[in-house]
Amino acid sequence: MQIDAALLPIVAGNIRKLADRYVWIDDTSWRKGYNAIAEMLIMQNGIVDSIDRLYRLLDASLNGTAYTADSSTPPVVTPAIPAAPGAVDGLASGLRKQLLDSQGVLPAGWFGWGDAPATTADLVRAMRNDSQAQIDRVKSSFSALQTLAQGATVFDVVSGFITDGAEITAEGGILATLIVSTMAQAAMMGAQAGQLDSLIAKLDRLVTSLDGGATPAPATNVISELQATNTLLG
Amino acid sequence: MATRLPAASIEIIWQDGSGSRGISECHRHSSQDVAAVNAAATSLCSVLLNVSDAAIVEYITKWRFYISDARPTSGTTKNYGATLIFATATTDEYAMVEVLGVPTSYIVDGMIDIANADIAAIGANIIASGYCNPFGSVATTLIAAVPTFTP
Repeated sequence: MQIDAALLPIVAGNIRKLADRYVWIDDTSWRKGYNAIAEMLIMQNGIVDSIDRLYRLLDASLNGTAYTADSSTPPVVTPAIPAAPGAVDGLASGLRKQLLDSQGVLPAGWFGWGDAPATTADLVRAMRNDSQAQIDRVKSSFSALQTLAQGATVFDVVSGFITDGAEITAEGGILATLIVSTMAQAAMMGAQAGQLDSLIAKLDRLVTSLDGGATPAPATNVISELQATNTLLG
Repeated sequence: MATRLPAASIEIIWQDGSGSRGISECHRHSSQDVAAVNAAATSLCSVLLNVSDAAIVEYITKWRFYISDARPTSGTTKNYGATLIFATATTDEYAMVEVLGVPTSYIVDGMIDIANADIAAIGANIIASGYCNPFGSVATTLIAAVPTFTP
């Protein structure tokens, strides 16, 4: 419920009547009542003053408005409270400015966003990767990677993918680390594949030395042949 | 300050056994000072009581002066006013002075601005002249002024 400020003079006017002598049974009661009513009227003034203080507190905290008070009694506080709050853009401090600053403005990144204060929606959107154009672009890059054989060429493609309008030291740096790690693993797998090729070649040579490389290979095996030879010699 | 009426009035306040009050009035020449009027009133009350079952609880002496009978041709009414509240030389005691017919232009944020030059001038006059509350406590500082409206 909102109390109409216009009621205050009516309340004060009627309270003030109670300070007249005829209301009280004796002077002692009148004296107590008179001073109590004076305090009530002062309190009414205090309520308005308290509201002003709360406004200034919020205005200073949120908008960074700097208030000053002179040494008079009561002090004159400047700037005066406006009839309606003004625009807060361009303020040097204050919670709203700090919140705006905390959003930050990034250059246009490889997710395609930037040049505006980042919002929570931007962060979620960046993680979801829900832009079809972005998905197509990633798929295209991966497809290109699959067809490439040379590591250096792969790196060029990946590097181009990252640094295509990206903030290299921030966004690209993280992905570059991941990609280098992946490329190192790929190199290790390539080395292992070479070792496997060498091992297979050696096995082929061993088999050839045993069966002469006949095609098709003999139906018997070396052990049975040796046993048969032993029998003949015996 | 203009014409002073030739007589001061003495209002004698009676109170009966039920607590009801009534007033009777008599006059003294206004050239007499307060002490003389008070002495006369006290003396009169003492003999009045001899013929009445009611008690005399107080008397009020008034000297009437005319400042002006002019009225403004426009402006607000007496219903709109301001009550100036002063701290006094006595702790937790206050003095209140009313001004009637105060335009709403003196109201700032719902209150009378005591920093306003006109309001501050009233406060300075009250304090400098030694006005007091009904209990004799002299006003020392104007601490608030509230707008009042009495239908």
